[in-house]
Amino acid sequence: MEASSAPIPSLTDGPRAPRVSSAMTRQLWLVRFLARRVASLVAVLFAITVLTFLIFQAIPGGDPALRMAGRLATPQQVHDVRVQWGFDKPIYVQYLKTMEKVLDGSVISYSQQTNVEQEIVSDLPPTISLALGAGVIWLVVGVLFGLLSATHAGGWLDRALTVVSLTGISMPVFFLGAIMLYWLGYQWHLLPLEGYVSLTSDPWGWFTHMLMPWVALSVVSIGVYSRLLRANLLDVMSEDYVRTARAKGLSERRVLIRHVLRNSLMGIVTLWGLDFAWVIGGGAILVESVFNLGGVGQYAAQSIGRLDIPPVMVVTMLVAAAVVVLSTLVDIAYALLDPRVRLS
Amino acid sequence: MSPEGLPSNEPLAYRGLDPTGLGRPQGTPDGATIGVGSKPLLEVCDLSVSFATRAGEVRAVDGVSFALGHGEVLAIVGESGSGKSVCAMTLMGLTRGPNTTISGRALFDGRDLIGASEAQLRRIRGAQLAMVFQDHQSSLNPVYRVGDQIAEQIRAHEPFVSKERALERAGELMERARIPRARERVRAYPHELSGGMRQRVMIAMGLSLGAKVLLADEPTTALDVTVQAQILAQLKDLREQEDLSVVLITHDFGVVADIAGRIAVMQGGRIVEQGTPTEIFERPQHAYTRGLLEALRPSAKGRPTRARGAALLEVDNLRVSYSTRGRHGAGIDALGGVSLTLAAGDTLAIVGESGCGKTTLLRSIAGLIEPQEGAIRLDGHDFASAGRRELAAARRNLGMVFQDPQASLNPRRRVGRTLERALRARGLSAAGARVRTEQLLERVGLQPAQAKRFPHELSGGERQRVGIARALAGEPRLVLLDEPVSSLDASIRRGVIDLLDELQAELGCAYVLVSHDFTTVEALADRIAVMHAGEVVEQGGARELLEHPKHPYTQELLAACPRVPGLPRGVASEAWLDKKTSQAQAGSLRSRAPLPAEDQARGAEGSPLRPPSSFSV
Repeated sequence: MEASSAPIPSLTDGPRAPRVSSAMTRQLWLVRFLARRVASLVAVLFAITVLTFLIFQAIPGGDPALRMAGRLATPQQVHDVRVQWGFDKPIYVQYLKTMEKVLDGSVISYSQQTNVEQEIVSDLPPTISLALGAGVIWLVVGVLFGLLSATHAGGWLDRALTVVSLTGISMPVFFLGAIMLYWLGYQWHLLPLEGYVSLTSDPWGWFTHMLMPWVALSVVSIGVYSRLLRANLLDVMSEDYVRTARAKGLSERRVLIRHVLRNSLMGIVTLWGLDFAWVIGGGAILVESVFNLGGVGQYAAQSIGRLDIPPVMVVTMLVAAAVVVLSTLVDIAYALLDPRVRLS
Repeated sequence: MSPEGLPSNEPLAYRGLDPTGLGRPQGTPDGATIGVGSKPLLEVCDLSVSFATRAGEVRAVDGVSFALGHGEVLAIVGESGSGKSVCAMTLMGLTRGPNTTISGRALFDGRDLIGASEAQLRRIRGAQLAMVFQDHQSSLNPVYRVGDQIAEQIRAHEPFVSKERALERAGELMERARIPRARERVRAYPHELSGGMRQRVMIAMGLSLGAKVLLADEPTTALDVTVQAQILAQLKDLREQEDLSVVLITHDFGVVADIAGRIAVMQGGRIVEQGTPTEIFERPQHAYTRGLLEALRPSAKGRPTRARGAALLEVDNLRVSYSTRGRHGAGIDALGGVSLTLAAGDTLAIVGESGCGKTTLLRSIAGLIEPQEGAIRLDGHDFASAGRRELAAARRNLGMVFQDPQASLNPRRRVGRTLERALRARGLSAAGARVRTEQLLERVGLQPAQAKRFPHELSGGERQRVGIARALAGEPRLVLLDEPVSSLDASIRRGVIDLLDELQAELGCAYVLVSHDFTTVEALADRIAVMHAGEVVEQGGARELLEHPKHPYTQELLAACPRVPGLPRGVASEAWLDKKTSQAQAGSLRSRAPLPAEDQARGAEGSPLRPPSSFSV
């Protein structure tokens, strides 16, 4: 038998004490995390612009010189346009030129000859209004529906909400929008038919103009969020720590809000961040077009129709940036919601 | 928090041991009993709980009666599915629901727990009646600081206490629950604490409002033996110093031996026997109790010392360190220079507590972790220098049995297919694999027809037998056993251990056994290596090491092992050995008489005897 002469190990709980990270290292972590995200943002933007640019090169009839010179142009005129705009240069030079202009804010739309970035800046207010309002509505109503469904799981309320949710999920936005416009706007004159009024000039007008778009955009998400949250809630309700919370003698409401809901919100937070980013980046093309809000999405839709590369590239970059920024915020929110999560 | 004073006129019978033995069942039909004396603190009478499931009504608790006096510890012992946890949770009102039917009476301090409204019950639970659960990993909410979780409970019952004051009290409570650096750890999150500390937080929480009764549901099952000993000592002190009454629910007779004043044995929802530890251990009346106790005896042939063969496995100065994220260079040494040898046909047991590196060692041997330094030679072939192909060939000489048979078998694949795939991977034809599968199943004591079953259609013991069959599929010379029986009930454990023993004798393969359970180790090991903090602190022949541990850590580890009085934990008694040898001579190796409880326990495991929600029974 070989007994080594190692020191007597301690048997207390001591050794596995946590390495309490100081505030200093925590801040350093955050800085490193943000630096990494910025780097990934640059990489994403580069990849996505290259891809968009190449797609437009490959689209049949995508030659911008032909379109810009007009239908009756002579070959000489087309050639002039081509040289003037640099379309005769190799693709990578065209790409770099375009990107240079995008970055210094001087990029011009091929078909409209307007400054793309100024257009987008002026289109942002309706889009942001849409995203914020709808985001709040679908989050609040989705959470409410999910909570009611989960707490009444199997009961009639749960079943009714399931039907409502599924109907919402399967309702096309343009159909719902058209119905609302017809009845609420055209027949009953309850709400204005279309357009956007700025919040600063007329708050009430802003609200009434945005109400229908918000609802139209929220309906699908409410369905998705309430179904997802319902499932999450039911999972968490069977966790041991929820049983502990009940055993502590907490009221059912406190158990539900503090212990069940708080731990169920993680998935919702991610989804919300990405959905919100999508709307900000002009993803709500249909809603913006149906209600003629004149937002970023509508601008993108029109530009795609005109095969107009610069606006499409800038809008794509906006979406990508919004997604990366929002997902960074989501990750930070995650770390705040769940202490086990470390930013990396 | 002031401890509840004990009324001075309390009959002695309620202070721990019942000297008269009158608490013993006297003719009650199911052997259950209500304690004698005037005012028990907790009195359960004919309690039944059934759950409506899709498969019909399942009666988890069936006419259970017991009484608990002031400062008494009642242990409820039973295997999984016996209804012991459901019983405790019903007292807490945690099983209430639309699918649950509860009947009977449960009086706590004169108040009816079964008939109480939710609001009435809420005032009792947490304040006067508290519960500690088995799984320390999941019983605390991961997103809140432990201090806040204790303070939350205080403020739920005493709403006028300020948050600061409640947190202060949480700190005091954690200090009294013997959590080192408790005042700082008030601000710790559950994942920053060790398992033992988390369980102490649960105890502190339970006692935060001066609870009179603590329902402890397998409070130490998920902990290391030394930590288990500390927690049990703490419960004992609480009983003595603060007159706390405890209902201790466990599957392990060893745990209850020197803490319980009375023991109730549960099986299939009923209390089949109840009495003092002396009565239960020395004169068990019921066949089931006897079976459970029998399963604790040192198993099989106490491993005679044999001449050691040539070395099959050599581990030489093995070092593994895990790098921690975000830190440069600095890593955690999981293994700090471990050297071991294992002879062909021998069993080497590696024992130690969680975090000691035994799993890392096993994984390195299995080739799943690449060591930073050192060599592993199987049959003279060095793993580190071996090429990919050589390594694959060497691995064919290796089988592995995992701790959790449920998790290690593909749930969507019939067990026969699982085995066939293992065989096909070793180059057998489809037909050959099928024949071999049948042979393997029979060899591990299953029916060939069970090849068509899915893992969930088998009991835990049967699943582990499939796991063993899979490990043996390639006729390996070395089998790695990672806690092969620790997820099984005691009465089933014995069968699996015996099987492993027989297979080794038959096939001549060597075992590396990782286990924290000395009964298992003793039954199988020829040699034992004790690990602590990534190093082997002591190794030697099994019998010598268990009888005369040299290293203080080994001594402490052995001392902390819970044991039942009258049953040697050390080495198999001579009489027992003789009995086993004569049995072995009388019949084939497989003549093991089935334990009376085994079939019933297996039946219970297979039946849907689980309440609809997720608590474990």
